[in-house]
Amino acid sequence: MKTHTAFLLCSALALGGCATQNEIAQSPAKAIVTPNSNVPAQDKLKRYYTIPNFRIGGKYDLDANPETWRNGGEGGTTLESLGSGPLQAAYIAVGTPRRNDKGEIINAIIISTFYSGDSTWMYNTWYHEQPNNGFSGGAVVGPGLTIDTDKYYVVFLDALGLWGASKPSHGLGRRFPQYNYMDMVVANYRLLRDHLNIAQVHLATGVSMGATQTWVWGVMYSKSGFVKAIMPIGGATASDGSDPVGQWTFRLAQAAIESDPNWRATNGDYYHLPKEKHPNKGMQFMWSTLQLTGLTFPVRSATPWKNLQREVFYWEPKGDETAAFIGRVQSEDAVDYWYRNNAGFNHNINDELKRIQARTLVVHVENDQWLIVENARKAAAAVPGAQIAVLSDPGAHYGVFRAPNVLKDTIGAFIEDRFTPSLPGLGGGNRGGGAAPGKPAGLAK
Amino acid sequence: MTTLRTWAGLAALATLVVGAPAMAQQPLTPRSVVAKLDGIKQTYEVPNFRIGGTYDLARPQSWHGGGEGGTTLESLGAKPARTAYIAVGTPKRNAKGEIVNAIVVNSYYSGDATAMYTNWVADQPGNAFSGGALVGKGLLFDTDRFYVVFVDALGLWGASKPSDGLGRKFPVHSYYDVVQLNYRLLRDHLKVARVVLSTGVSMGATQAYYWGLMHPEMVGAIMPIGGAPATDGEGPMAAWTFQLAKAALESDPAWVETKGNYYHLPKEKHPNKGVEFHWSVLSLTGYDLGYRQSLGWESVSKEVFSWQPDPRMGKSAGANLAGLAKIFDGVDLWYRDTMGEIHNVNALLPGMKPRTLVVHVDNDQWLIADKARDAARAIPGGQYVGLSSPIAHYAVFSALNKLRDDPTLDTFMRDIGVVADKSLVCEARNYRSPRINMAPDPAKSFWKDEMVSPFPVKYAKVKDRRGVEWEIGYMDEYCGKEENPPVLVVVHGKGAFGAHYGYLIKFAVERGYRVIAPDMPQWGTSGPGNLDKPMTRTLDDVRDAFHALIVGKLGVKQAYYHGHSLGGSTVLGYALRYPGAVRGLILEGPAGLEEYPRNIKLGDKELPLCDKSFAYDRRRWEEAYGPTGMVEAEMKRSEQSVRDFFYFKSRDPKTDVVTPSYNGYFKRDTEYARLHTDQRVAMIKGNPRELEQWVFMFIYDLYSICSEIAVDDPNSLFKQLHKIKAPIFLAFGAREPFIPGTALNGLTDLANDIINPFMRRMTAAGNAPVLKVYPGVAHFIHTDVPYEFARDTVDFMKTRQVNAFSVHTVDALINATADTDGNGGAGAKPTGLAK
Repeated sequence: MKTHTAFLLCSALALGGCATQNEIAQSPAKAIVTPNSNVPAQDKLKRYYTIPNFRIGGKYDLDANPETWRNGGEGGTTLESLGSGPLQAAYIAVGTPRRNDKGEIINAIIISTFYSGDSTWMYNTWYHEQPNNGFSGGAVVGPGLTIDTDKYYVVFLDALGLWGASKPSHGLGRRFPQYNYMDMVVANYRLLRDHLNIAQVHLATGVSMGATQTWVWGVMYSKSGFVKAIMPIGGATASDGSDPVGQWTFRLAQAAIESDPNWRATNGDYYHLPKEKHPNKGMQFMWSTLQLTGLTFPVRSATPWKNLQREVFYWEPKGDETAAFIGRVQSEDAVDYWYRNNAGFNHNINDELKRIQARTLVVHVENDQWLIVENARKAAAAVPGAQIAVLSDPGAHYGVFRAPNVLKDTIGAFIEDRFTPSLPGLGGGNRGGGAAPGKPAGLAK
Repeated sequence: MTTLRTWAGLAALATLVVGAPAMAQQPLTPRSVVAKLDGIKQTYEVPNFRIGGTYDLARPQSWHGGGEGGTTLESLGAKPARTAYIAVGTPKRNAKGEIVNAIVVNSYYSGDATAMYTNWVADQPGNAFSGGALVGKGLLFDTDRFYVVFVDALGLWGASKPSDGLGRKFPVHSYYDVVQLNYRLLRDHLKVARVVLSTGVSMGATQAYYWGLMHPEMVGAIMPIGGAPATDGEGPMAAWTFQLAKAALESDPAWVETKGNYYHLPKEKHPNKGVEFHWSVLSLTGYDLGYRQSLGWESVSKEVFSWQPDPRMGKSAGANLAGLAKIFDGVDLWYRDTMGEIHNVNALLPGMKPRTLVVHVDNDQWLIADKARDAARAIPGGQYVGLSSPIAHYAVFSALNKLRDDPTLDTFMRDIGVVADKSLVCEARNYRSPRINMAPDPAKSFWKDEMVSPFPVKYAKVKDRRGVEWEIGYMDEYCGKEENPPVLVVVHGKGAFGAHYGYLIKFAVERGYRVIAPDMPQWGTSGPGNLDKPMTRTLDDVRDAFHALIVGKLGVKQAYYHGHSLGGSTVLGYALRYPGAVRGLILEGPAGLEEYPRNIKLGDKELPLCDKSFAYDRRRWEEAYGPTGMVEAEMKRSEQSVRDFFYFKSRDPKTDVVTPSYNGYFKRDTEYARLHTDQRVAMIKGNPRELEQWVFMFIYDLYSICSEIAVDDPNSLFKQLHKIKAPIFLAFGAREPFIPGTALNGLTDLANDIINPFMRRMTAAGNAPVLKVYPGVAHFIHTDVPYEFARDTVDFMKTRQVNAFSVHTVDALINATADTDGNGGAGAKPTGLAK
């Protein structure tokens, strides 16, 4: 594939708004408003692949041979037809490929990205010796680690709609076709199969929306034998009304975006305006709404206001109010997130879970306040032979990043396929229920 | 007539009926939440009431007519400040004709007097949501005994509010204004001189804090149910939640365009969508999220907002929100939210005078329980009782019914006279709320100068049989008129002190008993005067000193003796040593009902921990106990360690993770549990000699107990117990963690190693004790269930019987319920040295 020299150059300078040479040549964008990587310092590791004539937003006939959807779902829209360049996927690969006779890789572990993230972010927190390992309670991917790069070829993936993958903020804005999770997965399948020459995925995993994609991987690609095992960590098999709290939470988030006067005035068509006239406040409002329930209430309540106020949205902030999100949304775009939220509102594969033939370990945070554990339990019950392992975390939903370390033995055994049902966390306790106190030793009083 | 319309909106309002008054000139917002009750709501105006001013609590006269610098509504061209109320019940009046038995029920965030009325007053449609009525004949708030006033709150419904017409010209007001306006209603209009209790749920609870702070001269007690001492940055989750709601309101294009000045436009052009968005943001965390999830989308979607209709959301989407937008005005809500932003009384709580019980939903997601607990802790004598509920904050309405059998609530209600007690014979006028100075002066005596005992402490000098003279601190109270009243002597446990039993003392005094509570030599107030005396002394020395005081000095020939833990051992031996002085024994989790080996194995060493041969030999004692390291460990105990241990928590020293512990003192953080905790914590920074004395005795008295009951001693206290002739009331908590002393004798079964053998033995000896086991209660029965234990003690003294079957006992026996309330759960038996 072609090398994006211009891209490498500008990413080395860690500039926001850098585009690939490809995009600049082919996109009708008036402005490139968001960078290609969530973690600028890791941007240089990211690689790209373009998929011509991929139909976005079409309908997938799951009964049909997967090869029939290799160009996207029926009735979908290609970016080319909208005057843009071809669909772009992005990834970071590490580890040790093992190949079959045909030279195809058969030991891939794929890590799909979460809602607001990309491959650089997951790499930065899960791959060994990276700056943000602490966030996950230690590295997860690396030589001898839970996901062992001596044994596996590990691919961190972007997802259609943000960062290094094709996204509305490349220029199409609200003309971008409404994608769905199946588009995300199929586009990445093309990357894995055609570009990286992967014939077998040993494990598909990911946290949060990465777990949601993992479920979709299981539904779409386990019957063919492409995906051998799935481990969704804190995802959703439905984020429409079948997931009432998740739906409510993200509906409020969407309403927050739409409440921005800049959004209202332009109906989301604002790329002709400079960034400061974009609905940035709506994005801040969205994040503040989501974060209200992001961590557990006691943890939040114990946080001093001088820290907490940085996450509280004000239309006219003073001092540090809203500061965390004012900074954050500089590299994010409201239309991108509007699409991502809307994709969630259409997502429901509950009736398709029976198609999953891969080994399945569902991991969920018991006190998750966005994606309530009960739905994960139901989803696990719908998959033949699936197990569920739960953990509690003061960070509520954010415990998903730490899960592979908290449940190291269980998850390690699942990955290595030496799984037994007596491992820690399995079956789960009750919501919020603590373990029985241990027998204190020695002189008690 | 009005048209009635029910709507299943926010849970709090779900049961309420709302109507649009069918008047010719329809006001923007209705006067009552429950239109049907509007007719019984009364209005009162306070002319020239200044709103939005400053309240200096030290100068109440300066804010009689509202805060200094405030704005009168008259000055803005509006009518005088108005509030509204519904009064029910039976006023009791003093000689001046003033009402002295009022209970005030304050209004919640979106509610008014009619809303609380329908929730709490008998035979109203809202009762179900409260788990039954609370106000009515024979109910908790008995309308035959109390005058109950439900009040509106400035800013909504029947009180003055922006939507009366001033809109954003209305002065920004505070909770001070809300409460002072209602105070004027009560004092001037209703002629109320005494408020027995000010209470309310949610924002009504928040107002209760203000009643207590602003009008201690009038208010006897407050009980905030699910309120907040602060909703500014010191109530961070409330501040965040309500700011998002406010931001939602302000995002409405109609608001943006008019900056909130829209009353000239028809209602449909008001920021109604903003009001809907506001409610949807708040409601998201109103219920426990898992519970909400279980309700399903059809129900949940009614509260989910979107700017544009979206068929994917189903037919019911936003249905409840539209109803709310019809009855609430955006500006009214904006002011109410703003009032929250300036609310913070944390710094004032240590000055709270009225008795306080904070009731809170432990899993409240708006007003987080940690702040409510902190508030109770900051208030002198303040107590906390919590409950959990799937409906989180909304459980405030039903909290009192859910907690109906809660010992803390029950005790509080009796203390403040809301629950009548006919057994009272006189008032213990000397009683005061006990207090510990949490920043003690190390140069002063901790016990004499830094603690306020519940009754005045007296001092006497008495000698034991060895001739050692001890200074004994003791309380001695009686409020009746009999010349020779029955006497109860209260003997504390190891580490404790007489004042810790203040509730029991007061209770018995007020039922006609003279109560004497001496501190043992080297403990509590009998510490400071004996710092130069030998630290080694036996329990017989204690008994002799007590006998010299009680029988010798005070001339009480015979008395009931209560003994807790170490005190239990002490009074058992006292009954053997001075049988004529003992009319009966009340044994609370007593030591002495088991035997210990003389030598105890610790690791690979065998130590003579229970060898009475060196009773007065400090050096040999040190040789025996030194290797255990117990004195040093206790000396080094940190505040955190005290708080964890006392409340059944163990903390991982590395990760700080807290897990329930088998051992601990208090299942319930009641007033006297707090006193002991405060004492132990404050002492760390107090007088160093007294701390050293306390720590030494804390370990030494393990020896005092066990050296009397060595298994190979033919004359041990244990072996003579059957000789006791005095009637016995034996009380144990079913969650007793320290008895039997597993580490010393390997026994593990309180029932079959301790209680049942003792009962058999005494029965065979012709002195069958009266027994009561308290479910869910640990070693401190008198603080876990203060009222029940005090009542049982008095019942036993009066009738030789106790009511052995509380609701908790019945529940435990029939349902085999585990210990679910209070701190910590049931765990495995420990192996450590116990009390």
